[in-house]
Amino acid sequence: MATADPELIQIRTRVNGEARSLTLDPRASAADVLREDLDLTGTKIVCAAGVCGACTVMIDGMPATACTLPACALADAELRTVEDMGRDIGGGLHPIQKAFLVHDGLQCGYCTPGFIVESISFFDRWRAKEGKTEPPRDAIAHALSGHLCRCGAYVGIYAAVAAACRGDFDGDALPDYPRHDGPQKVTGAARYTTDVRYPGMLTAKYLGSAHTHAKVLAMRFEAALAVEGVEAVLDVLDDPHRVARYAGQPIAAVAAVDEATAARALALIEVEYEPRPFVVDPYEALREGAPEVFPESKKHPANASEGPIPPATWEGNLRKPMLNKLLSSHKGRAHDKLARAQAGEDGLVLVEGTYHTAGQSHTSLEPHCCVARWTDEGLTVHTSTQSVHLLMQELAEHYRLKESQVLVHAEFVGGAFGGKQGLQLETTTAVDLARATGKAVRLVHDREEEMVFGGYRPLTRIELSAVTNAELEPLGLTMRAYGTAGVAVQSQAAPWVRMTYAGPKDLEDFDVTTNTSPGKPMRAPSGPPAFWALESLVDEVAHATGSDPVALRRKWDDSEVRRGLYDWAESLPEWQGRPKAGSQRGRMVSGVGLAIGNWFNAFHNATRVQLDAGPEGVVARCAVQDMGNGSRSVIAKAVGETLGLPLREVAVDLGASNLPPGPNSSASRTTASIYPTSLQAAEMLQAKLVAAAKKAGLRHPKYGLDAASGRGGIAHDGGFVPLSEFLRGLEAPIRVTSKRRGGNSTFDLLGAMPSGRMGISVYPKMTGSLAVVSVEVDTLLGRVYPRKVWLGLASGKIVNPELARSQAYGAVIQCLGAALTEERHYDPATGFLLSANLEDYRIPGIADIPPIEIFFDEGGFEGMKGGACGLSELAVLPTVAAVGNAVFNATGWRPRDVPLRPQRVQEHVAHLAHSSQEAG
Amino acid sequence: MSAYTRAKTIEDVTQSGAELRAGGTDIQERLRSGVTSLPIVDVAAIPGLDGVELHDDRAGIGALVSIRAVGAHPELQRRYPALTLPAQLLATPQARLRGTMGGVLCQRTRCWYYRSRHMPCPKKGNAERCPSRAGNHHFGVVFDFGPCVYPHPSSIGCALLTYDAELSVTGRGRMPVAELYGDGSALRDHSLDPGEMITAIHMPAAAAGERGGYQRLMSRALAEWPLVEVVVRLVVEDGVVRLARVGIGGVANVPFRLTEVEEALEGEAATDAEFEAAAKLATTRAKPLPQTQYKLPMVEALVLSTLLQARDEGGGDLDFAM
Repeated sequence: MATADPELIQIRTRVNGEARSLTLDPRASAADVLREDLDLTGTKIVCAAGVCGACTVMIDGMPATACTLPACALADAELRTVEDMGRDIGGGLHPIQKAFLVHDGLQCGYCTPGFIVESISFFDRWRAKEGKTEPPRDAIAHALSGHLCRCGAYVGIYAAVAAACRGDFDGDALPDYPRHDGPQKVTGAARYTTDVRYPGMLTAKYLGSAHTHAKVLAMRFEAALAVEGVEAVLDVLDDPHRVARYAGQPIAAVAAVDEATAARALALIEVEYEPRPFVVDPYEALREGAPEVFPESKKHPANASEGPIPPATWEGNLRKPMLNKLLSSHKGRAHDKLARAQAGEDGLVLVEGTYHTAGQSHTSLEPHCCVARWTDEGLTVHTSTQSVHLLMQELAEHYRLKESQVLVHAEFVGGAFGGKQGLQLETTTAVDLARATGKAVRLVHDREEEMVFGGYRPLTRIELSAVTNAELEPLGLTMRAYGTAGVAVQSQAAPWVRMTYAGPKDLEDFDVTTNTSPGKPMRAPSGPPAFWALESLVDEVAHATGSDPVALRRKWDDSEVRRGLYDWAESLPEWQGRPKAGSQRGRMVSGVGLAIGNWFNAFHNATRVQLDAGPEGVVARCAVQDMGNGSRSVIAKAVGETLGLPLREVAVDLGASNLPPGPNSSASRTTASIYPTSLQAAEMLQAKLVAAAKKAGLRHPKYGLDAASGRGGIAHDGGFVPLSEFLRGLEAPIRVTSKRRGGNSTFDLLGAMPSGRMGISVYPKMTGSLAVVSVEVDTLLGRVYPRKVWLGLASGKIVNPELARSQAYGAVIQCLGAALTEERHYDPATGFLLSANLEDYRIPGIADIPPIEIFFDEGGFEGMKGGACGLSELAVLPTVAAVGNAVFNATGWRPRDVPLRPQRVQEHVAHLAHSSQEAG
Repeated sequence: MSAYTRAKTIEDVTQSGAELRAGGTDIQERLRSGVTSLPIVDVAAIPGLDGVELHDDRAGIGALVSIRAVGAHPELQRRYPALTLPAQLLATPQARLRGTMGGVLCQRTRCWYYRSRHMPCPKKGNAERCPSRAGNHHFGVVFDFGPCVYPHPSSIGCALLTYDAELSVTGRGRMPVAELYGDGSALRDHSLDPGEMITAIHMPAAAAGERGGYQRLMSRALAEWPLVEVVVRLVVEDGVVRLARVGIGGVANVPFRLTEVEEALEGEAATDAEFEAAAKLATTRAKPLPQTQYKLPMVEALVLSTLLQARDEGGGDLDFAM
């Protein structure tokens, strides 16, 4: 009964104004039918459980999540999807869509269609009831509470909905907007990898290991292959010893005509396992005699970092990198001071603490996915990647092809956050299945797979101690950091502590391996845990010594980069007015906390930007990707400002590997790589245009801006020719390409580091950040409410302030998730991830977001070409510790484990609620 | 028996003997993951079950009335605030629009072992013992009433218990809501068999001047399954509690009433001190699991907080729930 195909049923419906007859499986959801049968791919499937709202559509005028809406419910109904929104309005955009564009209520764009549909529904109801007035934040938060955004675009969304409701966008005009690809994203036109369709395309699915740790002795595919519609079954176990090392690890994959057929075939794969003992808990993993994750050899752990895996020694599941020796500074002195302080030597102040962080899942709303296809010319791969150019090189090497035979596409990427770099299993699996079947093959993680092996930031236990004296000198800092990334290694908190603050340091990183899914690099790998621990400890030192937290940091900080940020923080009235720690009683108490971040400053030395100018206008080309970080906008802005063209008039072609090389979007290098190269290319184009003008007979031509319109063009003795007009008369199109090394002089580089294809160059000046957080704590219930967050960034010139702010907001919001709600839960008996959905893994929603203010201190990087550093990683460093420090300030209780879920807080602060007559 | 029925009448449902689908907000996820399979019967198109009937001494709510329609109903808000408040706060706006009053009472457990297609669970018939009891039950029960250790998801069930509401069920006539859930000793999320359907909810007369309170303790502000949720009905006259009803969810495999708290409140002064004393009784019957000890103080704290809300605010409408 369970697997028998039901009879298909016929219904009539109207979709986006068109009458349709549909033949349905009665189990199907509306989302499946819209995407697969009607090719309306603006409706996105993310959680597939009615939690995240990405698939929200309107049925008979009211919003519904299409993933839980039975397709049968479309019978005789009127359905509208994002593609239909605004179509009947002058200009083709609804006021809500325009408001999202202007207030930048989006980043990667994957959640945007759902937010647009829901916001339009709210707009209509609000207008009907309240007219052209601005709704309060609470009303917007409630209306949009059924939507989740992983990039953290909520600040812009609040602003957009408020502005649209109060009537700012009622006219037909579309004002300027900062995000170059915004229009495609607010209309559902943007095509992501999950939206790519080829005729005859097959769907692939993984079989996960049924055991937590087992040697796979044999797999038999005959029965699976016999299922009608199954075209290939492959072994995908990626382990030299034929061992599956965590529950759910992909071991085989099926390609079939549709998902249901593939799922049926998976159940028929026979696997012969030889189960082994395993360990799931990191503390258990360190016990004498604990089962080893890598008993055969330690050579093949997965890598949770972005760098190479350096040599290390192992004791069972504990890995000690040799690199540790380089991480300390005056280790002996640090040790000596610690020993003396522990012995109680007069005049020394010792502060010690052990801090924990839970693993944080990337859970990009577009899951890992790939559509692969072999043609006579070679291999075409569409994949959700943050490294279009590098992936092409890796594919060429892996499949022994010429680089010109591989084409990687990623025009739109629905979030990445570090988890989608280079060649990954979903890509090789789809490519191998495409080769085996001769057809296009699509493999898309479902949300459970995305949560299990799509990546997470390693969990950490960090033991820290600091010694100081009455003069607040940094006399010694010691740290033992234990990171757990399951079957992966390279959690590295120590380097960031090494680079931050003066004084002797003894620092060590360890990995504790377990039989759980592998962590992956995530936005500032190991940075947030390192600064959570370090900045909590520094706050404890300030408290223990009765010193001012900013004054103490000024004293310890050996970099000038944060000087302006300290001044700014001290000027905030909320910081000045913070209470004395632990001075309050009663149910609601409030406090303010502060913390810093410190990050290196890198770019990709091989990035080149090409400009083509001709009668059609100017097109910029680069094999970079835009995951919502704003690559298109940065390029368009650099080119547009240099040439005097509005953002919208610079076409940007990116996200394909047959364009000039672009950077990996990792190590915060994207802007720092594409901005100076775009500037340089635009300057080169100016020179070529002037030469062409000379050749055309214009006297004394110069490139300039028209004073009245601000538009660029050729000024000459006889007048001014606007660029667009000049291009229309060009004899031959002009092409320029920026030089390698981002146009930097060799003087300001450390040079190309020996990092292979990653091509990381480091500018020898760190960037700085500082967060101030104000919280309110309900001591009766253990709830921590962030009331306001301020984030200061010293990362050089801000190319595109709106987008830079959006990215900084998103960083703060991801930190609020790490600080307050996000936690991975495993089954202790199998190590299988239980919180493998967006219901049990709690990323922040719009109602959790307080007002956030961003401050940019732009000076100090003028020596660098372009002067613009990355900020994506810098921005995620300080906020978690600032939340903890604020909770301490409010309650007098020092949090050392995050997330600060109610159950972690209540027991420590409940006495405050009960110790006052004002309770309640 | 056919794998799929699109019911036009209640008789169609009875004859189908299948699992019911109305809004789809719960079952679609289970159909996709394979946790639930055919046969199913669509009941959403059955006419006549989507109305609210108001009488002086009672109210009737059709089983296909949406949760949102109940939450937004001005007269229900006025009379039954302890019902309309949870109807405005549970789940998400989209789920409240599509989800029906009958369906919300008959949700299946949200337990992560039950919901995962990789995990065993006695409720799915592929395990003898609950793997959560010996495994990870971090979000589990703190009142251990029976074999299942995951909290029952129905906030509305919790609210209806405080009203002693009754249900019309096909083939059974009228039955109290309490009978739908039982005492938690059975391995079921509700007592209906396939093909049985709730057709209406019957609300008895509201008490004169009654006030409502509803709170859910979550780690996020909205749209999350609660660690603990509490529904309160309260009548205070001349500073004395004349009626107190306290329903609790998120803590046991069935929603239930904290009668010991109700008894302690009735007849006493409606003061902070009396409320605190009564709230301390909330955990009298609690039997925590190893990982749910943390819920004990939360139960007391949330009962107190919700009693205070009912006394000091008491209305059935949240301003922002448009």
